[in-house]
Amino acid sequence: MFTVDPKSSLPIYEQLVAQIIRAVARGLLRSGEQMPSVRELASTLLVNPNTVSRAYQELESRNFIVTMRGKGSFISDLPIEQVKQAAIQPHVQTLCSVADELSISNADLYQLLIQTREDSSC
Amino acid sequence: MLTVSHLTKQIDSKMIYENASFTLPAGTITALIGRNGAGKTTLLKTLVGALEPSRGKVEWNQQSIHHVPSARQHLFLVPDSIGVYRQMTLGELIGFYNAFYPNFERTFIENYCRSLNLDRGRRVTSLSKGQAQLFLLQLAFATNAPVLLLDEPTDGLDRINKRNYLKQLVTLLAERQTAVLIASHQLEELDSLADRIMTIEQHLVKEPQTLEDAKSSMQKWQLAYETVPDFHHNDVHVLSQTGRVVTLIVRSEAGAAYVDKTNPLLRDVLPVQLEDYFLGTFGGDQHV
Amino acid sequence: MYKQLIRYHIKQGIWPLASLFLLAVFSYGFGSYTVIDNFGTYGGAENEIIQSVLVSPSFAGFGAILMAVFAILILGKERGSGRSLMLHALPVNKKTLYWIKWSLGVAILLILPIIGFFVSWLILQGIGGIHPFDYVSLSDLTLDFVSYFLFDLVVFSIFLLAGTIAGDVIGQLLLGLFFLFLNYLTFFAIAAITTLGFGLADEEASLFDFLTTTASPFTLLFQDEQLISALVFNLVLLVLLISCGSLLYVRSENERLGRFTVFPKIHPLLIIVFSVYTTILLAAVIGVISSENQFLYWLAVAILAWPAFSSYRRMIGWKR
Repeated sequence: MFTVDPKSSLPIYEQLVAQIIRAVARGLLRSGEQMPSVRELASTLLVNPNTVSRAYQELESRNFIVTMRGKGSFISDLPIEQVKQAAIQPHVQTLCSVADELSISNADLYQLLIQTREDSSC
Repeated sequence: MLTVSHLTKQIDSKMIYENASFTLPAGTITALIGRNGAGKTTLLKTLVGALEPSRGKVEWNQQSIHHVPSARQHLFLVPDSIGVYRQMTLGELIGFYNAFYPNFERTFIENYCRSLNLDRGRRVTSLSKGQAQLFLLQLAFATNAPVLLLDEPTDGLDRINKRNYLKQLVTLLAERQTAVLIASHQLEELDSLADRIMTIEQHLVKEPQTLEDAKSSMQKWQLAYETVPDFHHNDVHVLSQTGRVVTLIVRSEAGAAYVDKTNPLLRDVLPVQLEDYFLGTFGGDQHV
Repeated sequence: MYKQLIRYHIKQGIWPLASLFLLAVFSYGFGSYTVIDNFGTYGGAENEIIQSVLVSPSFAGFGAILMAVFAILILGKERGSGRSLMLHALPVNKKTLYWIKWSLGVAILLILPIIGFFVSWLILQGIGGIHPFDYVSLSDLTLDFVSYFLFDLVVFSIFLLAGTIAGDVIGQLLLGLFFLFLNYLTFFAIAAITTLGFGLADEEASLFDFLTTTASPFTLLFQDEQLISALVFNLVLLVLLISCGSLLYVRSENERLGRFTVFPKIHPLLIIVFSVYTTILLAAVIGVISSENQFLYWLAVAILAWPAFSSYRRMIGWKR
């Protein structure tokens, strides 16, 4: 379900945070569902367990998950719209950065956005 | 916790490494990187007490592991070659370490052997490289030593064995609060595994930094020029050049300023990988 | 803990140990049978024969060779192959490791001859009907036993010390042999210089005779005169050997910095000593061949000195 890219400019724990939020937004993880343990996730991804812990802590501080000592971590009960927004936020950020770099105006950007959505949707 | 202060090793008049000062906190993975022959193995051997230091000390809870042999119960070194255990059978090794490490978990390692159908009467050297390395890792954890030193653990392992090894390392680590020091050249895996990096540059052992700090101490830039200039600055290391585009590592403000003065047409900031950090640190005209 | 270490060392040196056992069987067991078979033919020499089968010099003599091999296997071979890393990383005092190695030697050199003694006695008396104490006295037997034991132990300790200085099998072997025959080599070196170099008469050189008698461990095995002084000397030597050995075992660095050499890590001093001996003795050979011409002797020394020194230097890779 999750992959990490060590070559990305994002630290691994941030990648994990983003992927978990996205998974919740897509419904792959539902509220109340238990997250894999730090050990499980670390060994599946071959990542330092401290990195996974850090991701979980970040998610907890942003209220996406709730950790109960001795029981594990569970997806919290946030409204789905809020989660979806959090999931798309990083991509929007990237889009804006590239637009800035290429000096594309907001109007042009918006046009492009609408066009692309119309072309790709069925 | 293991504390190392000003550890130096000299053989005859040759300096192997000097001034190593660091700690190994529980539950962290520290990667020891340096060029071939930089002294990594010698440092590990000194840490575990097999070699006496020329200067400095290695202490576990204020007890010098060189003067108090029992303090070495808190350390275990997995060497880079199984030749060290030549002629010993798996069972003998288990019995051996069981006698020396007070918290040795015999059932743990015996279950491991059973689950893999490893006959304990077999010699360690009769196992394949992957099997042997995995066995030694499990044996290391069976000693319950709070500090593990691994010398090139995945060197020469095929992809599958490597994944398996790292998986087991991570799993065991997540269950216990072992402090691990890995000397390795496998920068790609260390990139996602290491909490901290420690380098040996020109025989000097630098203080460990977190992986993030290490990477952020450098910048990796991709620059485009009309004509690519020659770069002659200590803190600028060219990684590659294709046509009018050059990729380089910049190690300091001074280096950045130097590059700025060359007036590139375009500049992209790329993420720094551990490999880039390695090239940036050890590349250039200095030897080891 | 000690059990593991003892088992480990026995396994390391299993071949010489097994051979020692076989040697004991031959010297004592078969030896006794031979005595019984040939008893009538000894004609007055029964005392010595019976003595030699109760406290066997052949066991002591050949046993010394096997003990030297044992010392090499548990030290030089272990270090040369890198296996010493495992032992030295253990939470055990390194000196303890040395003492375990040495004590194993002592134990073997005590246990086998003592058992052999009783086995021989049993065979002689029980099967051959010979009462050994009709022919030999306890004091003679004790003297022999102590002498042979000390001889073997000194040889073993010499090789063990050599192993703490050299870092591999060949280094230990050569250094051990050098130390073992040092007294003879010194004697001949002095004789060479005095008679060939300075043309002094042989009698002057006999001042140093003690080198071949008192100062030699071999006296303990072969000679009767000067036995007591040899015993004292070798006892002192033994103490010296094991104290140096236990110190050097801990101190000596035996990493070889990636170079293979015959003498892996020997102090320049030893190289100089080797060169001096080699030069003097080789020159002596030339001097003897050239009918003891003094001038030729010193010329030979002058010519041989540098090549000897530099070849040893090259052997250890010692560069100034």
